[in-house]
Amino acid sequence: MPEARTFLDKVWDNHEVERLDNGQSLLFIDRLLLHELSTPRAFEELRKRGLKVANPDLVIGFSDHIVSTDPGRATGNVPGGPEMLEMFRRNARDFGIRHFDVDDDHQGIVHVVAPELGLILPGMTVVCGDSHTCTMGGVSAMGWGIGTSEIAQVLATQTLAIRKPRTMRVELTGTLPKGGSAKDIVLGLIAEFGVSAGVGHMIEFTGEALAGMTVEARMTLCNMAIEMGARIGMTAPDEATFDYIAKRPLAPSPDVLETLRRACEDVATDPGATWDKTLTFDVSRLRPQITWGTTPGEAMAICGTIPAAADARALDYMQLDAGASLLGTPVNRVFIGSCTNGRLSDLREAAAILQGRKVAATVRALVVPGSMSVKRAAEAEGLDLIFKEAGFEWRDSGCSMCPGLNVDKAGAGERIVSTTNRNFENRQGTGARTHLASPASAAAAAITGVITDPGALAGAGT
Amino acid sequence: MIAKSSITGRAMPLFLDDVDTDALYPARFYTLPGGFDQALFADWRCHADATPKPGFPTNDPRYDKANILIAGRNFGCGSSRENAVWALQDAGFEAIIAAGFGEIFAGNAATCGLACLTAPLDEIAALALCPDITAGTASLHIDIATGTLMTDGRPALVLSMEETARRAILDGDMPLDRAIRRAETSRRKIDAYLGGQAWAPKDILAVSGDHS
Ligand code: SF4
Repeated sequence: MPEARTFLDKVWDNHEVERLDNGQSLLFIDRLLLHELSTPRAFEELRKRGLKVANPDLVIGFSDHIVSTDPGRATGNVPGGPEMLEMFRRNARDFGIRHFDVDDDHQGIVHVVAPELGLILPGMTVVCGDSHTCTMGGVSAMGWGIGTSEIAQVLATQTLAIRKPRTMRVELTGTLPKGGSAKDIVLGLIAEFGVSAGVGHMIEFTGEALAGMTVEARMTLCNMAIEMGARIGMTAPDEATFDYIAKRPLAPSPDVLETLRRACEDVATDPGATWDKTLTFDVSRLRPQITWGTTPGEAMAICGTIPAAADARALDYMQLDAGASLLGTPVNRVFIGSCTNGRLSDLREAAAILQGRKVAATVRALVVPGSMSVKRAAEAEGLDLIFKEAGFEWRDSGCSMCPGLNVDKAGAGERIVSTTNRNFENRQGTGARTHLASPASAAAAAITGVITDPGALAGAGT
Repeated sequence: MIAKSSITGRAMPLFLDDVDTDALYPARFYTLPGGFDQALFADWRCHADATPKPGFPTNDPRYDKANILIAGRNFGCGSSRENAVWALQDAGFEAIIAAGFGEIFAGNAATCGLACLTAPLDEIAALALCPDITAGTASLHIDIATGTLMTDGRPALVLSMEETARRAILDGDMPLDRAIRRAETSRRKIDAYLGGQAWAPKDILAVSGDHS
């Protein structure tokens, strides 16, 4: 009898061209996604050797990290930014790669746009010079981040040599209390198990809590697998996955979809298959989460207190005290967006809190849709008006305040509640202090001007 | 990449956990002119007005010649930016000894020939806190083939290394050349894979700019 295999094993095996003698697998890559930052040297390498891109139709480019998100994009570039975007434009043109450029109707953050258009399908392998490629696990694709040298290899061969990670199952038991979100789950999970719990592993999320989750929420969950140390985080396909795929602008035809559905049945975990490691996390009593420190694992319930044994260096950077509550801590900025929480459902979650309320006078609040499609969809249902009337800046799409490399940055000492995925020192601007949280918690902080349990504000304002 | 069988030199202890890629290479440097090394630890190394913080190891004259960095757990966690590896190499580092690495960082280091070696945290702590290491006077020798670390006056320590990364340093192979050779050997299988995909992406990807 053949060995019982997990979903993760089967997707891996389906792409294994060879097992190399150094123990690595040579994998076929279904999609190589590119963005402007991590690619220049890869194309330079190809040019130097007179190489072509092996399969340009499997390579897609996105300008997102450095773009201006000012409405209309006329202003708001960092010095050197336009040149970098132009270099990407030229490389995409010269090598025949479809590129979602700044002015494209579907421009947006790579990890938002690729699945939302239907470019990523269940069971695929997807790589990108970006660590949050694990987001693709939300549509049941195996995605992971690679470096520039590896990008050059995939450009030239559409394959990649990589050692197979061990398999890890993260079982999410229970049902999430009302007002909780996927962001709270993943922050709670990393706080519980630590930022290196997933190193050397690829994660499959399973369990009761997952079954009730939308595909967008699953993308939020998988997006932060890398913050737990795992390059890959996936959810197995189910009805919700196929409903989502069928509605994509570039959804495959019904018969291709049917074939895909059958292929997905084939990759389902065999009875008796085992994972190398299993973690169980009960979400049924999870409160909204927020980070207090400088790694995504330094998180706690928003109504809780900072651990007594908290890391002194992190506390010093964040200007907080062990044992203290975060509630009532004044914030200077609120950012809603990014590949973690920049989708339509995230904007709805924030708008539900903001409706009929105003941003505190002491707060500068920004909402940056994850893609121009998200922006249009939000405008179609009037979310833009809720944000604008509340006093948020309503921007065009891009990474904006997440990576701290375009003009959208916080100043030294400023405190931000941010729906992004990294609260590292200086990430959102030199000296900036980041608290990661859900869109609802970010919206609540925007209104009150202090860190606030969104549950205390639930329901519409007056 | 230059083939190396050993790395000899001086150590700089930066005995912290979770040294992330934003610390190694702050993202704003992507668009700034200048070498990768000027970005290395820029926000830890310098005040906002660009004056150096004297307490930071890279500003400490005792570690001027250091080419081996000693760190804690989960070194290089965070983003996929290979610039973090280039920055370390540009600043003269040839090896990092840590209790664990961010995986993408370790993969990038392997393609670039920066040696990542691991040991249990307590062994690294013992090493990082030795007076001659903190004084920057110890001379270290790492044998790549065995992972053996020799320092004067101490028993040899065997460090672990990912096998692919070890081979890459010993062979000094260019990863892109190797990838192309590999793909050629497997050409038939790769072509068969491409032809056999029911959801062949070609039609899906005939994306024009105005399909909305
Ligand atoms: S939104 Fe942030 S994490 Fe996501 S791709 Fe952009 S910079 Fe990276």
